[in-house]
Order: sequence, then structure tokens, then C-alpha cells
Amino acid sequence: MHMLISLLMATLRQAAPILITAIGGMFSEVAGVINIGLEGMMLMGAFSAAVVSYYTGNAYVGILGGMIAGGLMAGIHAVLSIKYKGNQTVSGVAINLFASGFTVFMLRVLFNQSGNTPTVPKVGTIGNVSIIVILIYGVAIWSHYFLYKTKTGLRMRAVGEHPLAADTVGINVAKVRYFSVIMSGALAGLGGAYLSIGALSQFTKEMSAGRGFIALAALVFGKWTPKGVLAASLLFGFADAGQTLIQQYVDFIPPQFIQMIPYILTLLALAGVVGKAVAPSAAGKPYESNH
Amino acid sequence: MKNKLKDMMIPVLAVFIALIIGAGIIGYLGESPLNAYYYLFTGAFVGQRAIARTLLEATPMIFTGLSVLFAFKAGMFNIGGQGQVIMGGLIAAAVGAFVHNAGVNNVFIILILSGLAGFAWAAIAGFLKAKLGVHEVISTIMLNYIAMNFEQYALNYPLKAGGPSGPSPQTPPVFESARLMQLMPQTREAFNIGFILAIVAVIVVWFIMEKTILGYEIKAVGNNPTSAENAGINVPWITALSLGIAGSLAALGGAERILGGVGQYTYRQGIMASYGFDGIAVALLGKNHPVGAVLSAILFAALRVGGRSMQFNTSVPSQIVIILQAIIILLIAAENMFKMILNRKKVSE
Repeated sequence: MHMLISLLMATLRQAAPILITAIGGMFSEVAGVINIGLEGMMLMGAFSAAVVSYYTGNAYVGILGGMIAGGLMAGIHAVLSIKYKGNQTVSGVAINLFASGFTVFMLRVLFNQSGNTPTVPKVGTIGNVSIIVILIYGVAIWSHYFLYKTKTGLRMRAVGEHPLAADTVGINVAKVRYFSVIMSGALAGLGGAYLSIGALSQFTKEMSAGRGFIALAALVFGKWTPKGVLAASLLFGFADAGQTLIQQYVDFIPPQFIQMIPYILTLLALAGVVGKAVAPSAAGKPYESNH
Repeated sequence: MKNKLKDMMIPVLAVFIALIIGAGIIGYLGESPLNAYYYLFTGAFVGQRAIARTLLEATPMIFTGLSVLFAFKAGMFNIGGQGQVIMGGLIAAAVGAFVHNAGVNNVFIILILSGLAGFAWAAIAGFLKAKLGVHEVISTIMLNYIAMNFEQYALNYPLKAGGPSGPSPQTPPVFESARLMQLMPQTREAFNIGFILAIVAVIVVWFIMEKTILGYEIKAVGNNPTSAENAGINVPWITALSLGIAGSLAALGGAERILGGVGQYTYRQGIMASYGFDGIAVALLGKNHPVGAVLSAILFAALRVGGRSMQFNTSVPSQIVIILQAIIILLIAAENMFKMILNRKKVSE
């Protein structure tokens, strides 16, 4: 029983950064902008959260710092994708590269370190659960209502499915898309903040370690819906948290194969083997307004 | 003609602007940008060793750049270069170090096998796209992570030197017969004939694209799949084939890392760096032209190699070159920005 509870808690913890980053990606893609840069936004979020927490001595200001940094990165992506109608995949790739270079560069400049920041204040816990984790699940649940029950949510889906129709009824397509993309970066930044000042109390080089891409997988596997993304993130979190347990029972399977599971499942979902995943129809397509 | 010139101006402008931004950052750190760039340049280009290092670093980038370019021509974005490089490298290491048959353990055979492995790996995404309409960006990202995990498995279990209990996760060195000839052994930089093979690949890709029916069909599919279909082109076949060929090009880059001797002819942790992703930058900066890919691969390789010498001689961290590379890609992605600015100028004239 005790083991089950600790497994459950570990699953919730491991799933949290994936979940919030995937929810962020969902906002961007539902509104029609592909976001491959989640990994970089998350990494920038993790770094900035740690740096702000270090200099202000307040981890909660650090959370804000992480979200702002993620949002700024997303802002660049938004301007390129929306205003200049650039290739969204290219822009995302550049953002990932930028984050990976910039964070290590700044580690050297600010702390004269090559691998990590000094210890910084971390966010508190409620009954052993990091406040960021609670915040993340709160936002994830809220996102369902936001996307389906509010006017802004409806508009987001409209500009992602049929921008021309949305434009015709007077929705400012560009504005809604800017909002969605920047929000996606802020949420990825929150996921990053959890890594540096929630789970740990320092930033380490490349600490997002592919979670932004797992989030992308969770987004696709969860079919671009909040409920689906939640389920997918929990499943992927479980694959991560339960690894040692799984290893005990199936020791003939090397751990690397267990780590492949999220990606293989996502491929299968895309192929329609486990329920077909279909992207928002205008995702990746710039919108040319006539006025 | 004027448009073509403008097209060529954009990469040059992008590099120039990135270097200026970089100079700003260096200046802000209290270093002299001129001094830093001096070491960057001399570290990459002055002296036999520097040149050998730069061209050695450029070799896999030419292959992965060609890979991305090839898929681009068919209208696809191959983000899966990293996985394809890994698969090519693993096959090269496996056959080169474990197969004792002298007929198989031969550098030419191994290159072919690596190419086939990359073809098969990328063709998974090609098949998913052709038959089921799965977007290749997502599928190739997933395949990258499957390959990266498979790499760790292979280095820790079946291919590990000294068996699963061996000292470190790396393969034994490949046999002599499997090695690529060294071009500048006096520099001890492992600069090998793989670079010449990369140049041959450039010519072959150019030839396929410009002089063959296959190239014509690939470009037709890339331009407009619907009208290509109407013209009687087998679009699913061309789609899967193009991504497969792209995969084999990237895999050859991976094979060169192992057979060329960069890591004492072993496959070790991190040997594939980020060459698959670098290919995206190479193809973009090279404006999707094979010759452009060579030039931009050499540029990015020079930044990496020169960056180390700059970090050694000044207080500027070498990661600034990654930032420069990112800025260059961002600027290329924003090429419409340049076009708008250039066109606005024309109006005001």
C-alpha cells in the first residue's frame, strides 16, 4: 500500500512538467501555430526561474521569472510565425538551439560555472507536494474550462480550425494567436521552473532533457484536448516513475526500451493504431488577412 | 535574375547581422569583439591543423545538410537527422567491429549498409506520411528519441566493448579494413576521405535534382502534390523514397564519424553531437542548394572549431557560437522580414 502511494505520488510529480508544457503546446497548436520550441522555452524557464530565485531570494518571484522567460521566447516565435509568416518548424528549432546555447553561456557569464547554478531558494511544499505541482494540476483542469467554456477559448479553437471564418465574424486572428503562443511559452516556462526550483534547488545544464519533446508527444497522443493531454502525461509520467518497479518484474527488458514507450505510443497513435490523432486543421499555416 | 541575387543576399545578411549581435554581446561582456573574432577566425582557418579540424567537423554537417535539403525538395521537413545519423553510426560500429568476415568488413560494404539502415529508419516516417498522412515533423522527432534510447541500449549491452560488464559505454574500435583513409595524418586530426565522399554526395544530389526524372518528380511533389498527382506521378512512392534517401545521406554522416576515426574508431557517448539538427541550419542557410550546403556546413563547423580557440584565448564562452547559429536560423526563418524591408525601400525610392 505504501509503495503504491509513493508510486502514485512519483507519477504525479514526473507527469507535472510534461503536463503543463503539453497544455501550453495545446494552446499554441489549437490556435494554429505549431510549437516545436517547447523544449527550449522550458529550458529557458528553468534557467530564469533559478536565476531570479537566486537574485531575489524569493522562489515565488522565480516562478514568475521562469514564466516570463518562456513567454518571451514564445513571443519571438509568435512574431516570426504570425507577423512574418515564417516557417514555424524552423523557428521552433532555432528557439531550442538558442535556449541550449544561451543558458550555458549565461551560466559562465553570471556564475563562472559550466554545469549548474549555485543552490537557490526553492518553492515550498504542502504535505510533501511542491506548490508548483499543485499549481500545474490546477492550471491543467482550468484549461479544460477555459478552452471549451469561455469566449477566448472558443476563439482560439476557431482561429486554429478555420481562420477565415473567424476573421469574417470579426475575430482578430493575429491577436488571438499571439495570446495563445505567448501563453504556451509561459506555461512551458512554468514546467521548466518546476524542474529547477520545484524538484531541485538549482539549474543544471540541459535539465529539460527532452521533456519538451515528450510534452509534444503527450499533446499528439492526447489528441490536442486537455483531458487527453492529462491522461497521456500521466501515462508518460508513470512510465518514468514506475521504471524501477517495472524493472523488478520485467528485468529482461533493458530500461532504454521502457523509455522509448511514450514515443512508440505516439507513433502508433499517429498511425491510427490506437485511435487516430488529427491535428487542428490550420496548424502550421500562416493566415493572410485581407484588411 | 534580380530575385536570385536577393535570395543569395539573405543568408549573407543573416550571418552578418548575427555577427554584429554577437559583437554586441561580446562587447557587453567587456571583451573586444575584434579580438574575439580574430581568435574565432584564426582558430578555424589559420594553419594546417585548424583547417583539418574545420573540414573534419564540416563533413557530417554536409551529409546531414544534404539530407534535410533532399527532404525539403520533396516538400518535407526532416527533423529526424539525429536519429538517422545514430542509426548509420551504430551499423558502422556493429559491422566494423564485430563482423569477422573479410568480405563484409570492408569500408565500402559498411558505408552501403549504413546508408541502407538510414534509409530504412527514415522510410518509416516516409511510409507513415505516404500511406497515412502522418506529419513527418512529429514522426521524425519521435523516431529521434527512439533512436537515442536505442543508442544507449546498444552502447551499454550488445555493442559494448568488453561485453555488458565492460568499463564504459562504447564500442570496440572497427577493424583496419573498415577505416576511411586519412587525408592529413601529419595533423593527427582524423581528417579523412569522408570529406571527399561528402563532396561526391553533393554532386550526386545536385545531379539527381537537376538532371534526372526522379529529381524532376521529387521537385514536382514538393511544389504541389496535387498537380504532381494529376501529372501521373506516384506521389506516395516519391514521398517515401525521398525521405528514405534523405535518411541514407544523414546515416553516411554518422558512418563517417565512426569509420573516419574521430573517436579512435569507436562509437562513444556523444560522438554524434547534434549533427542531425545542424543539418537543418546548414540546409536553410545554404538556401536549399547543394553547394550552399557545403559553404554553410564549413561556416558552422568553423564557428564550432574557432569558438573553442576563442574561449581559450579570451573570456568569451564558446557557447556564443550556438547563440549565433540560432540567431542565423531565426533570421532565415524571418526572411519575409528582409523581403518586406527590401520592398519597402523600393517603394520609397
